[in-house]
Amino acid sequence: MTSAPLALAERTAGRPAGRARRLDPRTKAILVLASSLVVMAPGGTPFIPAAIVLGVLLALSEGAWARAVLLPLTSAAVAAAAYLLPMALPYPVIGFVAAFAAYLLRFAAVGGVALHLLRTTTPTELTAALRAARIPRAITTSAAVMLRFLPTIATEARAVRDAMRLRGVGGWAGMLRHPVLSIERFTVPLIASSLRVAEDLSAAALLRGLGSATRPTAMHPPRLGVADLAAVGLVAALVTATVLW
Amino acid sequence: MTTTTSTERRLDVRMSPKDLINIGIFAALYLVVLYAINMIGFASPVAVLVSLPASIVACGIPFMLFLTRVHHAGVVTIFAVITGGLLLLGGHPPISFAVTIVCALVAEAILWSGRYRSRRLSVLAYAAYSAWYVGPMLPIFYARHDYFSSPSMQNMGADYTRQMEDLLSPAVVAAFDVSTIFFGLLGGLLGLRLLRKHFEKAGLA
Repeated sequence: MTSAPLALAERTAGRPAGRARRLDPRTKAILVLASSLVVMAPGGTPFIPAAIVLGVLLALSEGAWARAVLLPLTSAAVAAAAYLLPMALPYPVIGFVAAFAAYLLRFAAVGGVALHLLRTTTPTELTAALRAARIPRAITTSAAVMLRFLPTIATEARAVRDAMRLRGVGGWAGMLRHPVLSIERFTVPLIASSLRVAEDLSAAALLRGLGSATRPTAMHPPRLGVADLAAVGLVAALVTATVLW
Repeated sequence: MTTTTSTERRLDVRMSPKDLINIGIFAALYLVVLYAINMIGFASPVAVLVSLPASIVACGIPFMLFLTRVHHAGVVTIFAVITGGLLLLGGHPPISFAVTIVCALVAEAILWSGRYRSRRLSVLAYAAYSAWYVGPMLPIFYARHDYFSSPSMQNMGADYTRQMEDLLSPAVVAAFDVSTIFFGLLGGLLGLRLLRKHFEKAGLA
């Protein structure tokens, strides 16, 4: 039962040597929430560079070189669209696109930090972290199931889309000509096939004690370590630099 | 556990593992449908105008099927916490999470008034839940002064800034929210129709 999109993350997670230097999933989640809270708040624009620097450093720490380069480049392009485009073309329509770009810039800044969490954390680790954060059982159990099913259903969705393409339905033109019909043709087979898979997987999960009252133990229990301390120090330095500057 | 007249009409908050699994499965389905339809929108900014309403309508189908399968108080709230929570960890603004929870509570109240069995009220509940779509857009509006007070916008002149302020007014946000509720209603109705047309025949509803 390996899931294709998360296979890479699983491979890196299994390496015991790298574990000591990796961040605790709880720290990664807190980094996302903190940067999102600060950057998305009114008056959060000055913190955008700090969030981008954090995103780049996190990308470097996991060895995602492409993201480390693309994140500042994309942000710069979006910032240009937000602040320089209206000067060249002062029309309200362009202005709306520019205002949207100013928001996308915030989104990109938080997204860099969020991608680190999503790319380096397996569903199992995230579930263990949620349990360690003492989130109610009803939420952790259903979240665990959701995280387990997302890759499976995404694979099903790709299969349905390929089948639609093979029959010459769907795609852009079909969506515009018969919107309701193409929605029906996509979602109904997706739901039907996903629920068939779900029957088996949920029976297996129930047998393995999912949702039982006893707290499951984790193979790699989340622990806060030196790396997390370093992350907190880094964030403190970035915030001080932004405030003083 | 609260005991009422019959087990059929039981309303309790404690859910069986089976219910929790169902919530997780449908939350995953909802997110995949949401993203699959919105992926079309990444082609151009104009495409978003088509894909956003289309995704609201499409998500009505798994949501309506979900409501026929789980009849417990609190289902929509847990659904909202896990889907909204994952989007929050994916970089969505925190205010969006708060909006999602409020919409879920409203939907929950509507469902509760039909004892979680009424199909007509399920359509209304989905429409109410769809109002969360305004959440991810909110920072454009509440943080607009950040943008207009930036040095490059100061150069644009008062006339331009006033025009843009009008474009990003609370009235526009309200109109957007009303449109999401309208498309949510359409999605709920489509879900109901497909429930009868496909899922009941297949024994899935």
